[in-house]
Amino acid sequence: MQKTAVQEKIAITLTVNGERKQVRASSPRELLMELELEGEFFAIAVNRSVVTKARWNENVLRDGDSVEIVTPRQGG
Amino acid sequence: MLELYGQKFSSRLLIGTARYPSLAVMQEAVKTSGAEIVTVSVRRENAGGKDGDTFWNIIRELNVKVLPNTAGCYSVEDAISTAQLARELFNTKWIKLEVIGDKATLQPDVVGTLEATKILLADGFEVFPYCTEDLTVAQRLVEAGCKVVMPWGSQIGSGKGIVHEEALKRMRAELPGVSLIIDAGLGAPSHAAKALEMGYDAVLLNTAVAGSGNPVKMAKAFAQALEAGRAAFEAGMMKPREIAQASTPVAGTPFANTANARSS
Repeated sequence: MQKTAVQEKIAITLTVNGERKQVRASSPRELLMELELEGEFFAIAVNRSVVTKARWNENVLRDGDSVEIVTPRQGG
Repeated sequence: MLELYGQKFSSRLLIGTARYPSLAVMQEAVKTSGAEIVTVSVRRENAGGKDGDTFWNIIRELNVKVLPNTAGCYSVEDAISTAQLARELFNTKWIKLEVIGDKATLQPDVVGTLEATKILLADGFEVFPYCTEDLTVAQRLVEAGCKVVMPWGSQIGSGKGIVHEEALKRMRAELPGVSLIIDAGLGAPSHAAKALEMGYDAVLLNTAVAGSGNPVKMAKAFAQALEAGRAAFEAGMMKPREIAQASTPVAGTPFANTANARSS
């Protein structure tokens, strides 16, 4: 029970690609792992600002943040 | 050679990667088209990111230059954020800027396009703005710093060809140093040939090939049409005349000036 309390304490709510999610990740790389995104080619923006791949290990995620995770796709 | 922001290309076709029957057909069509530049988009991940990987690996195999778009953006803010994500994702300064103004016609919001263009150029992007046939808008985009301007031929995906011919001819005449690309609305290879005959530097199309009965064959047809159109432009076409002019020499026509001759 104590563990659950700790988990609740550090969980944050993010809006990821338009969906609200409870996560424990505090960096983009942790978020990708937690969401089980196994692809290699992503770009990530937090509150509309791009977080470059070089900064994916930084603890930039805060409760209430809006995160976009995008991949290459067909286009005209 | 086609020159876009200082880079040179021998093909005058920029081809889209969407709406093909399969990724394999897309890959073959792009190869057959001879295009050295393909357009791509950025979209929210799904399927665990695997879709993006599969697509991107195919694009990388093609060994072409990538021009990401901001398709589907209806505001300056969304277009700029999308462009910034595209720059990070594809590691390129190039962006095909679309700020759409109307859901039904998908026509560009030219005011928003100009505003976004200025912001993106200041941020180091090389902007390929999708715009209308409006000359003043094109001039403002060039004044802002665009080396490339991409007016529509007609509405996106309509296949109607070059509807705005007079205005687009005027734009070509007024902006001689700018790389002008007809983007959107082309349906037939003859439309592409026409664009190049008019002195346009290149065309950008997608549905005309992807939505045809045989995309690979159609890709070849467009490549041939573009080659013909460019050669015609370089050769210099005859000026249309109001009245007929015999091509066969008149002098020495048999039976001339005999009793039955009716011509005067």
